[in-house]
Amino acid sequence: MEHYIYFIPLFPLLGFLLNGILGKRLGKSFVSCVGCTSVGLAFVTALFVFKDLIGRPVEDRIMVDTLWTWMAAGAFKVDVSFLVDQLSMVMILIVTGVGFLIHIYSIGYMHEDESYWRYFAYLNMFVFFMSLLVLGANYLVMFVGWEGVGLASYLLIGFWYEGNENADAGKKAFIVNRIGDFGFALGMFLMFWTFGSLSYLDVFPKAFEMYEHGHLALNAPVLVAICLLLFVGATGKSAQIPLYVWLPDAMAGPTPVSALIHAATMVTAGVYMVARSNILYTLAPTACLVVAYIAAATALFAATIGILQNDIKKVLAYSTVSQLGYMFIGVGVTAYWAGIFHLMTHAFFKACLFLCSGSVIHAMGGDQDMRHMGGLAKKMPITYITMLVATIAIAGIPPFAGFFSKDEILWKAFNFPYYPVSGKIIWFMGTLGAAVTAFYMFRLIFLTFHGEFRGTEEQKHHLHESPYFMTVPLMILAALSFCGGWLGISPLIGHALGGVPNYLEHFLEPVFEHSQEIVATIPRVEYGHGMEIALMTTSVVVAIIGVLLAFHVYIRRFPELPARLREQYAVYYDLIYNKYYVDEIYFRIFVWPTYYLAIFFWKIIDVIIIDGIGVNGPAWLTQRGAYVFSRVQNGQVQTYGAFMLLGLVGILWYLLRF
Amino acid sequence: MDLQYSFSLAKLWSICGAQVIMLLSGLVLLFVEIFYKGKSPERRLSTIGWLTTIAMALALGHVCNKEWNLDEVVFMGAFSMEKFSAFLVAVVLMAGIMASILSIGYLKNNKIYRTEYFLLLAFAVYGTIAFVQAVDLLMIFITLEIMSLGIYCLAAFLRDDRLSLEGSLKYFLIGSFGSAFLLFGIVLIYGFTGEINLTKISSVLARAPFQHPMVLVALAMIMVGLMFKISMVPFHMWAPDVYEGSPSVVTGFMATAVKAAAIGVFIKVMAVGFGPVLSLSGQPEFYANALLGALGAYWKPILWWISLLTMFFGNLIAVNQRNVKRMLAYSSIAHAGYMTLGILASNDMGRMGVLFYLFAYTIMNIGAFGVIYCLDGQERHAQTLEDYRGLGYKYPGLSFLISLFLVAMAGLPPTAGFIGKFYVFAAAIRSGYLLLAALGILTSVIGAYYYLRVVYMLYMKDPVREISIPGVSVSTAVILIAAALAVIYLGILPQGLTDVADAAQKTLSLVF
Amino acid sequence: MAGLTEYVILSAILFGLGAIGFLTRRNALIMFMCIELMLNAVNLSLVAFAHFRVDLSGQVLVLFIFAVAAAEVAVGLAILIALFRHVKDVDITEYNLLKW
Repeated sequence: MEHYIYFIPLFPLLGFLLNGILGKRLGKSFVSCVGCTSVGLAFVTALFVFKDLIGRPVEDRIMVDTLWTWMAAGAFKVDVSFLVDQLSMVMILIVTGVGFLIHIYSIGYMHEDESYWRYFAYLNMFVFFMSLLVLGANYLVMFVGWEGVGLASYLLIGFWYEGNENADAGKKAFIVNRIGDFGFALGMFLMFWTFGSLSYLDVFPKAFEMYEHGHLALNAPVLVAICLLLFVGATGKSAQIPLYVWLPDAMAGPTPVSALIHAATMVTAGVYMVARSNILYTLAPTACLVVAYIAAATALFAATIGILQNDIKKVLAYSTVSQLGYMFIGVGVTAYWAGIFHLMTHAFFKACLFLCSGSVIHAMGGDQDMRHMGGLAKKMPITYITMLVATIAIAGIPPFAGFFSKDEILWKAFNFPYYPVSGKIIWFMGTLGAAVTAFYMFRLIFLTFHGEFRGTEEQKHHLHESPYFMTVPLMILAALSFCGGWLGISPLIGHALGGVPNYLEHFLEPVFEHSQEIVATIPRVEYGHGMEIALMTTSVVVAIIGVLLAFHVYIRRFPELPARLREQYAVYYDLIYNKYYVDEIYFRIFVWPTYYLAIFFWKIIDVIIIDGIGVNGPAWLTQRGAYVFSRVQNGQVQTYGAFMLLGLVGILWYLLRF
Repeated sequence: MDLQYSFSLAKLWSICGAQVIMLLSGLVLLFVEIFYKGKSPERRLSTIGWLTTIAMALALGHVCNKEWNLDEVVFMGAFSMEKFSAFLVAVVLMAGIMASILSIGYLKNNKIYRTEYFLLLAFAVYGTIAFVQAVDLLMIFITLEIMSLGIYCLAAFLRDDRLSLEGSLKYFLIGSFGSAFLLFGIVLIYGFTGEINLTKISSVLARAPFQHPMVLVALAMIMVGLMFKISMVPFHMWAPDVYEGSPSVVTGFMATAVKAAAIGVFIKVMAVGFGPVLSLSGQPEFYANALLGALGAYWKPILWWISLLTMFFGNLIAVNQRNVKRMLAYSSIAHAGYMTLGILASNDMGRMGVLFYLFAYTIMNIGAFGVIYCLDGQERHAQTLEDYRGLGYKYPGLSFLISLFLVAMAGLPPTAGFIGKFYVFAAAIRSGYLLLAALGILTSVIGAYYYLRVVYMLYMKDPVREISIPGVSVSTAVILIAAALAVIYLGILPQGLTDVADAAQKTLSLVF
Repeated sequence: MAGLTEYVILSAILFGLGAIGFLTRRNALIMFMCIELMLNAVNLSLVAFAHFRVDLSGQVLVLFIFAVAAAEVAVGLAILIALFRHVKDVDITEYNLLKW
């Protein structure tokens, strides 16, 4: 009995239609009720599916629910059908579960908004398309979801359209994602050309079979092309270099939207897609290498930029870009389950962080600048504690969730089967990024919740803890950020704890079975437990260094040290005579290079090169080209006739040249 | 040309029934128009409009009522009716019905009560149907002219509007110029083969040295004449001016029905007239999977380039447009490019895709022009991007509809536009045109930009000037909503239509 | 006695002259005439083909083409007159409000 999976997307769709058509007339309580119930029901359905799934024997854990034949021409056939296996199960639980919490939170956050109904309609629409993306049994259904979530995101970024800046941010997101979609569509067509199908259950076994029978070499150019094109799509949707530029701007949307779409679910679609296509990527090591390097670069790069941001949401946005980089490192180094694991823990802690920031912004009356905050811990204890938990989780300190997933990824990167040397480099970049992450996240905590309040009197008067609608989801998410990682404890620690199994890895294993078989044939150096412990210790130590550094800069020497760091040139001279010689060392060794690197990344690479040339360049070129070519159309009918004649002459020349 | 054809009324009715209905009702309407005074100009307008609509509905009923598995599909060597023609005739009539219902509201908005509009529309529809059904090169020329003359007059229908007349005159001049080429090509073929009937031409050509320069020149000219009507680059330059100048509803009709007909005839001429090659038995044989048959080697590279140029320039120049109608004109050029891709693929999926695409394109295009006329009020009152700013909240229904049509044209799932595009691209890839398909997808990225810019203007910008429009009539609203539902329905459940289209394209060989 | 080739070449030359005239003359009425010239060039070769093939139908086709050409001119002149009321000029280059 598998013919009920379709209820998962159906409920949000109904919610969307109800809210979209009737919402305006029926008032806020109706809208919130419909909005939350529909997603809640989807979550409950997903739980039933989960129960059904684990009730089955391991080799039979694939459920397919085919609704109708969508397209068919000759041997080619695409169904509208849903597939639930372990991978989509994990994803759909995250999407509907976290989605449900964020819907609840939104009741509190958006209660004063005029277009309340529109907001919930869009949000339900998002969940609908996201579940299509995750549950689709072929690339075409996934593509529908892929485009749909893009549309929802576009609408929600520009939700408060009165500010034209917001609308521009929406437009930017749209354009960048079209570039990504171009890659995705091309990859899809190339796949269709190669395998003659787009269905997961046809393409993947066929690819593996072709490989086994020697019809498809490891690293065959067509496979590399498919994987890289699909990855172009992923860089757009999941904000990787060079297409990440839209995500920081997307923070113009309401904060719960940032939490749901731009942190927990939609932006991870690319990771899901790569993990879904794992067999193709495994067969194309070059593509894996590209993915891993781009991911590692993104992870480090975005983390560094995060240091300099003063807007609380911008910090979290860059942090999301960086964390997505970690997930892609995971899937890039063929440790697909680790990527998904980090996706899951990240969904918990980043949703929590965003919702906490929303709570803070709510209390600050819409002000997002951390320079105006400070000392909020006393006024908003629940927000503070939940945010602290999530921050520790993202910083990668055990036993919080982020530690397990990030550590697994770094360890797997170190063991990259195809390219051992590159693996080490990626590991190093990742570890460095982890230190930076710890630093900027604690900077955020310290600036926001510690020290003196730096805002206006009016804001100070207005500070308050958020209502229960908002804090309860926070607490749930914080709890998950704390213990969510225990689902995937690595064998080493698990053994030390007395044989705790790695539930998630075992659960996901069948999905990545063929990939693992292929990888297992690659000869490589096996590192022992000693190395694993050493690496684990390293990453914890660098994280703690990051935290301590943040503590030093933003608590102990605040505000005079950061101010001095800002005035680098003048200060450098004074510093030699400064009695805080220890600052000098910090400054020289850690902060100065990082600071300059951050400035360089942000001002030069981010703003000028990627945003300016990479994204605006083609747009500019298109506009200019359109202008120039439109001048040919000069309104003179004789010119038109001349062009016709020219065309005819060209054709005649071609035909008669033989 | 010999005269062995036997005439019978029954055959005329069964093969050319739709034409007969349109022609007779056109003549009857002529008299009604003269003798019926009506209570008020408005009443008179709507009565005549509805009568025209009913006539087209009857013709559509005649087409849809049958399976079209006739024993004899060709009438007098001039017109054929098999599923392929029936499909296109149905598309044309559907466009005609939508246009004629929308026209009633349009003319009222513009306070024009001259009812000859509907006569012209009826005769234009008649000409278009006959054009689709023609299998005789002379008939193709004559019916093309009947269709065009009706359209020229409709395009010039806003007599007090200089742009409408200017567009029409340009269309007329360049159209006559183009059809002179078509005619020259036809005569050269006649001179070479002694035949004007497509099937006979093909049997002569199959035995003759078809690489003869005269045949090639003739082919080039016939192609140019037809590509001009489809508005393929570089024969497209009239289209933006005419589309911008003409009354919005007429633009909708001519961008869809005329284009659909011309594409159908293009496929027919190429596949039937110039497609067949000799089989081993020495008999000419329909060569379905190489559309252009033995001449394919000559023509495919040209079509390749024309398809690329059409997709590229159509989409690129549209980016520069401020007038929404003109933008859609360029967009329709781009759509012609995508459909060319399906023709070029010349496999079953490609031809099926083209037919599906034409159907979907017709619905969404007329829908979009319908909304444009509603938002316009009076012609050229509000049809630039600036005028559309912020209308999304003032006129949510209309804005939603046009957004939907534009999203469908951009080819986003789950709309009919996506399915159509998917089929033609997949067909091109199946035939090995990977590079062209990739470039085509790239141009459609540009396409999405300008389509969605309209949506962006509607919903995310504040208005700069006050736009107020007269109410939308019930019949217009019904047509627009039906079109919107069809666009979504065909995006989700396209199978019914694709089956019909597939069956239709398979019957192409019957004409032979 | 001229052969078929000569007729066809003459007709091609006339057709070409018509096309060149269409593309270069400013006066809209003369452009109309050029189109007529092109059509009549086609007629000439049609008659020639029919004559040399001894096929009467070709001659009949010419009549159809005459009819079409007449209808075309009627419509074209009507549009031109309506436009002339606005522009007061038959110079084709003046009709260029629709562009780009």
